[in-house]
Amino acid sequence: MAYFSGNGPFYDPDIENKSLKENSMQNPPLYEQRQRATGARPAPETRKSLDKVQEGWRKHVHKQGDLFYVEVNDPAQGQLNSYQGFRDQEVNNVDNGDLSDEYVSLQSVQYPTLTNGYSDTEKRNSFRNNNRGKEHNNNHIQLQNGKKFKPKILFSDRKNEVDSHSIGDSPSLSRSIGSYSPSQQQNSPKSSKIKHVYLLPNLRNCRNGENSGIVLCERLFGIILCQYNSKSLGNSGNLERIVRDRKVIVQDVVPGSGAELCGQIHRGDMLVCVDDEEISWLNLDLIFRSVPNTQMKLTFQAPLVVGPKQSQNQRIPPMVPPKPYLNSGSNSPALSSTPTLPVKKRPPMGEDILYLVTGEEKPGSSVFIRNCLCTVMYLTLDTPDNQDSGKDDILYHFPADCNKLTEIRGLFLTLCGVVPDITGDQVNSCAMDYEGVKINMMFLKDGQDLFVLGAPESRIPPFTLSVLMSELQQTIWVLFGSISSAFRTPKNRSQLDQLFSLALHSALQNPEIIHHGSLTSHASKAYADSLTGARKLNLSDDNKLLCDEILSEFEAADFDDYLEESRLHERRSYNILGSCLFYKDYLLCSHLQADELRDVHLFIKHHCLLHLVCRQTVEELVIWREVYPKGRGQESSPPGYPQPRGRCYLLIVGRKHLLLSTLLEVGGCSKSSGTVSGPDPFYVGQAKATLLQFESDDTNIRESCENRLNSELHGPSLVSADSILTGNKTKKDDLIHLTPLKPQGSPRIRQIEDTEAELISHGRGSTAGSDTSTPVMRRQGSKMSYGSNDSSGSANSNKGKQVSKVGSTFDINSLHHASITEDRIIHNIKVTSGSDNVLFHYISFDTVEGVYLGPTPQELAASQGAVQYQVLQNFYKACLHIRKVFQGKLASKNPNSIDDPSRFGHNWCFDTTQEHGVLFRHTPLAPHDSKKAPPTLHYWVVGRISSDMREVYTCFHEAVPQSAVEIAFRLGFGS
Amino acid sequence: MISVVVVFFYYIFSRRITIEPTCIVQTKIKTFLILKLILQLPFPVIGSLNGVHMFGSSHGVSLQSTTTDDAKIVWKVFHESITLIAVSQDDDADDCHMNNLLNLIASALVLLCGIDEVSNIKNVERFKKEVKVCMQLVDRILESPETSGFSQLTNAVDIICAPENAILQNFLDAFAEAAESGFGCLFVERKVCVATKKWWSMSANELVLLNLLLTSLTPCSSRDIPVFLPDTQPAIPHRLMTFELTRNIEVCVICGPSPSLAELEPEVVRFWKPAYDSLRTVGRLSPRNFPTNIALDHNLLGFLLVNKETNRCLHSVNPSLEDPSHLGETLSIHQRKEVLKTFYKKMVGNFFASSVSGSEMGPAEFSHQPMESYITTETHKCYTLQSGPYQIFTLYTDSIPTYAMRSVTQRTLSYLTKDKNVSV
Repeated sequence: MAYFSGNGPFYDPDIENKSLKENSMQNPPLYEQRQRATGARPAPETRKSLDKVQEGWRKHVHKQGDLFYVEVNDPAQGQLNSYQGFRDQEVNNVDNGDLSDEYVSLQSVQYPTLTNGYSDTEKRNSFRNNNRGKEHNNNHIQLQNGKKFKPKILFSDRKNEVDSHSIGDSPSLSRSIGSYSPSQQQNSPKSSKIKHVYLLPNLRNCRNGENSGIVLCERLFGIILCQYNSKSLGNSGNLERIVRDRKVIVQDVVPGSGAELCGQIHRGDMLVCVDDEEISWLNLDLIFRSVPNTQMKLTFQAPLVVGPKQSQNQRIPPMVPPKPYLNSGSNSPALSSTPTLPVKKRPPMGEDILYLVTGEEKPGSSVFIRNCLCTVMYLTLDTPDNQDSGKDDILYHFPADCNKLTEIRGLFLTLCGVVPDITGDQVNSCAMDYEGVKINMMFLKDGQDLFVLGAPESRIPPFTLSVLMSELQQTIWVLFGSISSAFRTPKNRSQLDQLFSLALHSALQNPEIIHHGSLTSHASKAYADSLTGARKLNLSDDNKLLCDEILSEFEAADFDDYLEESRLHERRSYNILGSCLFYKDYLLCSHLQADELRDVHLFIKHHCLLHLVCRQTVEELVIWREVYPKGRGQESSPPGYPQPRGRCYLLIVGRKHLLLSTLLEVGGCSKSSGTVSGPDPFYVGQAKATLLQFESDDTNIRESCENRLNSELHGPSLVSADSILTGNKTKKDDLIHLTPLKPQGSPRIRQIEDTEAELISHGRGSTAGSDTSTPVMRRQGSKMSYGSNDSSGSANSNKGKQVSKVGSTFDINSLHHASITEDRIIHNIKVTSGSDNVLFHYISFDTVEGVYLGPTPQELAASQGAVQYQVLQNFYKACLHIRKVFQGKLASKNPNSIDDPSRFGHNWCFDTTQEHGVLFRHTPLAPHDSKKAPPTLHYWVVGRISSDMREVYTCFHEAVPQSAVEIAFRLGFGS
Repeated sequence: MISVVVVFFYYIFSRRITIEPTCIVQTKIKTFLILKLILQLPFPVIGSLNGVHMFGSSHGVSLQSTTTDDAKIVWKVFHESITLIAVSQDDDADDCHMNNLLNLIASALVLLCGIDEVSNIKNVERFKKEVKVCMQLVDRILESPETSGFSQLTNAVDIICAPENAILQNFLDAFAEAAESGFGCLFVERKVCVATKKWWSMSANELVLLNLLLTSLTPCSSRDIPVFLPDTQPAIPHRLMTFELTRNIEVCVICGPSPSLAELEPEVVRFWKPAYDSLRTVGRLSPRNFPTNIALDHNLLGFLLVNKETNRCLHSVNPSLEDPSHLGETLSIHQRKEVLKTFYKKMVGNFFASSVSGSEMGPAEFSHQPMESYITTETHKCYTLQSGPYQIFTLYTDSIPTYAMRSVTQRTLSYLTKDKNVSV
């Protein structure tokens, strides 16, 4: 279901709300139908109650309004499954039972029997109880005065309930209610809050003479340490012990110093080590007096920010109870209080996120990056010449320590300065050899500045690197609005550090961070990285519709029921441009426009968020950022419709394995706001509620997805090269297949017609209920009806098929349809011709939409084997070459290249490429005893690009001549 | 020892582009010596292009190539004394093809000047004068892809296969014997018609260079040029003597100090007069390059057949011998050449290994050997397969069905390799 709120007319929110309400009256959403059918409680009620329950992210809001908050369950949590089971059971209880106070009390009784490891369950229970309570209350209030409930009442209500819980429970629970601490159980302070800062001591500031360590530290590094008055320390006998134990705390940083510019040292941080030597008040003076004139490594430990009760620092004000959805505007009290919260106490972005996302400590990972000989640099020719330091031309570089590539940066600057004189266009890349390692560099010239990215070819193939370069460039654009401002503003430094460390770890495939499954590999990752798009998982029609409806409801912003009366008639503070939903690393559903989806996905991809939610269960993830989507603000809107020029915010909320990304707009039709606003708790809450809606057992998207991922039967079936080589028939070969189509003897277009004709005939066969119709054929029938949007062939047409699939944002997704909840069973689909299945692998990529499809890991696992592994390696590598040829086609479509002919001309030969195939031969080593030659394996890797920029890559055995057109068609249009 | 840097630039201009002022030059190729200011490219620009490379090598980094949207620049050092820099249209192909070209140029310097002059430059001014004799040959190597043959691309010498080859072989052997030389070769229309056994034993580089050298010189009835064989005997000067038999047909021999040109000249008429009719017949075969008794598929627009072991290649972009003016809708002869060359560049180095040095790196990435490949476009289709020492690259019209290309190509290959008159 395509819903482009961003493209819609300039609407009055009230009118829209009304009309939407009317709509929903007439056509209740599918999930409601389901719920009615099962007699369950209506799900939207969850929406009302959630926004104020888990507000742990609140105090992590950055000064500029950005937020990156992740809380992760312990990945090694063994009891996850049992807990899950428990929860399901509990939920069943709820749904079957009456919603009464009895339930609440029952739960409170159950609590003490739980072990400590279940504390997140406790939270959920408390939260669920809250639901019940509020719901109850809500109904109550509505009954009483027929008006909307007052949030304040609810809030106090919640408090009471929480208190009642904590009576019989551990104190940790009560503590966690108010603040919902992120780091109590999982993150031990040692591991998470250590950060290393590399600074060059400013020896010029230092005069000879006896200075104390504190003064030296300030002069050398610009770090002001807390000074203690020794008189207050009591008698001198205790002095030494106290001095030894007292921590070295940062009081402030000197503005303009290196310490401030690096943006990582904050007031309250504890200085632990200097150059790996532990520091204390005893050796402080000594250490700082003997600093060398080289870069030094300062290790800090950031203080824990756990909440008011654990505050070890007087400066942290007592936690203000969060006010639920009052402060969506910029002038709201809660927001203005945000800066006074101890933002600086939080470890700055950077290491923190790397740790959270990758679960690895910084030192190990920086060693990995250093060994890789890769670099990200932002150089400038525009250097102030009054400085004598040799590194003025580096505005930014990552990793922090210099390597060979930073040493020879002059080469890059000169090269990019000289070559345009000769060729008339800018340098894109260069290849170098250093000690036998081939290194590729990518360049982007930006006025006087140069953005450089380099990595060894063994780690990143050149084509993938060039894609990575353009992706990083776009990500930076999305995050900061322009490349040069991103690198030239010192406060962005830590954010860029974080972005590049994540992106490079992922792209370089740090084996400790990127955990390959048994089936994926270096080559597959390199290939997948070259596809700028999200990987899509196709659900069954019904489940997809469900996702669409839930997202649409959220996007409709019909929040009247949950708004305070005073704000009911105000304009919305944000306009939801669209949203998309990820499960693990799959895109389930997107209501964003293609280029916006690409931007959002780039953000998610390069922050490794999908990797995070894939690897472990995320308890809570809230990200809020102002973004600058590329498509917006440019004059590309359709005529007659001026696109509103507002500010855009990206809100990502994650829970368990689900990620909901929403693009919000301020200005335009929503309330315009001049100032930067922080995350709006109301919208965050609504997004969380939407996620919970997906989790509720009426929808239970998680189960659908897992079923889809774990079943072998839903995609086009694959066969193993090993089985073909040894001649063993797999079980798949025994299944009934489509009648083979004739690939030969007819020109291309006729083949498609043939296929269609055949499909139609199958459809007729099944609707006619002929005896010969096999399950596969029956599926054909329903498929046909699906394709033509005609419900006559489908047995399930009564389930709200009013949504037209033809206009869907994702037409590509008809590739496979899982029907989990249906009784309709899909047998394996064969896309190759001939009586035996010969398909090894396939990838289908829609360049316009930016989504791609491939077999699930489970499907790949079904055709596992030693030879198959090699086959797939070759498939991925060959696909990179094929894509490169296709890329030439895309480049030639660029109208600029025609207007501005180059000096060297353009090679037109393969501009209109349609198909590119490579045949591989594998000759197994002959056993010594056998005389006859071993059988050889021949297989094709074929890529095809259609005129609508859809790319299909397949790998199949050459036994039966295949037509790639036909395979592409079948992959693209279902079976 | 002075290390001199010679920089060769070469531009390949497409037909469509004539805007840029620097390229309004009669030839399509420009050759520069770094110590001279030539044309619009100022000395500092060339100097810094070389300086970039030198800076890298002083830091232990060797800069290999760089690309812009349309262009590609390749650096390569030879004999630790000369650096060649080539600028060309970005071919989107493996670097091995550009390196092969630079390799040929470096060998050309050795061919005409000798290894001592090139590797041990004592006087720069003298070297500049010496190296001028190579310019014609270098220009020929860098000729635009539409007009040149396939020799410098495939690093295998272009041949022409005629039924008369067997007879002409006898004539040549006899003539070479008379010239007291093992090295004898008959060139027809820039392609090798027949050659002696010893001639074929030369390295691929030498075969290609000698072929290019003969075609680069202005036509004359006979000449005597000192040459060094860059791979086998780079320090020993030989004499290359050529005699024009009839238009575009030359015979050449490589000798030691004797016999002199004057001695051999009268012999030419005596030996070759009986072969005149055969030579004329072979000459008429030229654009087709293979015997008329072989009938190939009518969809075939052109092919390139390379033998990796013998370093020979046979190409034809006009297999049906149509009148070029009646080609109609299909690609022109020049376009066919360009497509075949681009296709070859895309395949070799990425999927196939050939006698082009460095081309084995790409295919080594695959654990299984790529055997066949194809690309289809809206206007034409290309297919390639390798079998034993042979690699065939074919170009078809778009009317051939994709599934048929494989069998047609296989059949074409077997026709060409099984025919007794064709020895690739």
